[in-house]
Amino acid sequence: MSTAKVGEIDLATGLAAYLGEAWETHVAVFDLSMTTAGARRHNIVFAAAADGEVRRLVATIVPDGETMLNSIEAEAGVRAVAEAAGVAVPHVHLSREDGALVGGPLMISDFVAGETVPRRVLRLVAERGNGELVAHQLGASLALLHGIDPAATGLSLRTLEVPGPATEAALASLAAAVDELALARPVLALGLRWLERHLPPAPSGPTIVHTDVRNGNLIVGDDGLRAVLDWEGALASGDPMQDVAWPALRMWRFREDGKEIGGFAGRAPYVAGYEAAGGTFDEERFEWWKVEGTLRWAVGLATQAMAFLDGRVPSIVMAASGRRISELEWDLLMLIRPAPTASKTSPSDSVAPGD
Amino acid sequence: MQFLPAPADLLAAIATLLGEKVLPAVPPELAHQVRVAAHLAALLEREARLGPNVAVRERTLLAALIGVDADDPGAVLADRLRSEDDPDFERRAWDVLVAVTREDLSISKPGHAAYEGT
Repeated sequence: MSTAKVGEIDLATGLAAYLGEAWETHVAVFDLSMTTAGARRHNIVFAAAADGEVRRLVATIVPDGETMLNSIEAEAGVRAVAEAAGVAVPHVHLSREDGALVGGPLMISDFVAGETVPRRVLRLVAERGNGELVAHQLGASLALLHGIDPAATGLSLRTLEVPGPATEAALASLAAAVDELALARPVLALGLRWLERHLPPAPSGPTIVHTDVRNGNLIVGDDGLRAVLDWEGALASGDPMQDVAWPALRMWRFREDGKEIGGFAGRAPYVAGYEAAGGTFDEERFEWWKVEGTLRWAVGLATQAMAFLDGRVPSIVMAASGRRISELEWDLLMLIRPAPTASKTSPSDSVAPGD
Repeated sequence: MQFLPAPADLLAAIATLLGEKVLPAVPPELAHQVRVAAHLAALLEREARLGPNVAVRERTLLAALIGVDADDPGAVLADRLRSEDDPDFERRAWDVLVAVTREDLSISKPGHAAYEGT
């Protein structure tokens, strides 16, 4: 969709004014195209001409009144810090909390060409044969992010709502959510029990984590990973394995189930990339966060279904979320499979009616 | 009593209409919602056909596990799993819940349970 307006706001004029102020020169903005028009954020690709040079840029605008996990300036700040550490991110040119001329908080960054839609990303990777490269680059990107000392950045990123280790905070919030479900789900109760039994020791210290690195929040091209997107949920007090486990969940493989890391490749190149860039891979914690993430997503689907049922979000997509929970329950059961005994090694051997 | 077609047949017709005729005709901003609606109609068709037997089998499996004939055996099981500390019971629960979830998926997403990896 091509547009120069969101509501009654003339975006080209507003964007040109803000860029002109930041670059201290006259800027002309044109060729605007809304790439996503969700209620929560607008992403607009556009061209900006200044001093004889034309750049392709992306404006991210958060409509006034929308809930934000981090301020737009904190989000832009963590991207800048990550970029300085060597993580591939679209370079941020400016951020403003008071984006009155464009309808809300604003961030402008470089346009990075490539695929972002997960199935198209996987088709491209299959055609180019670079899945292992992407997995390696993804692992390296996370290690570079996790190597940043949060105290040294001066960022005002969000922190955990519950004080204490990230693992224990996650467990506490999940326990509350499972206990409050409108319909009891024994699989989720069993998953919660597993998390309690396998709670790893506290991480060594607070780490900046992205919280949503996965296929769908990446730009991938012929040459591999080009950028990590969507930093709005970054957290200053996370566990690095939380980030490392998230892209390994089955739901981000988009039918390439055998390729654990985003449908790109198996675990080996990913871990190799993480360790080569200075990260320390901890398999026990990784597995714990895979279970946590799968359970959290199931709870999130239940929350979406309730938002439909109580009328807050009258969307058929939210309604459908409630019927996806059994997919996550299956994935969860596979993750928490009990150690084999003499008689049971596979769910194919498990009980059937009449047993 | 209603005449034919049965609910499952009507839902299948709605799913086909949405997926094959409506989806290509709607503007891009509606395509995802229509795709989801087609998917849900197909899901409800499976639920209309399979749901009654799936519910009976689930109830039988859960009642055998918890040892009582409760109104809501799933809630009883969830409560026991939250409140008790019994690894052997949890192991038996895992076996039963795999079977129950496999049945659930025959309605909500056939094929999903074919993958038993992690």
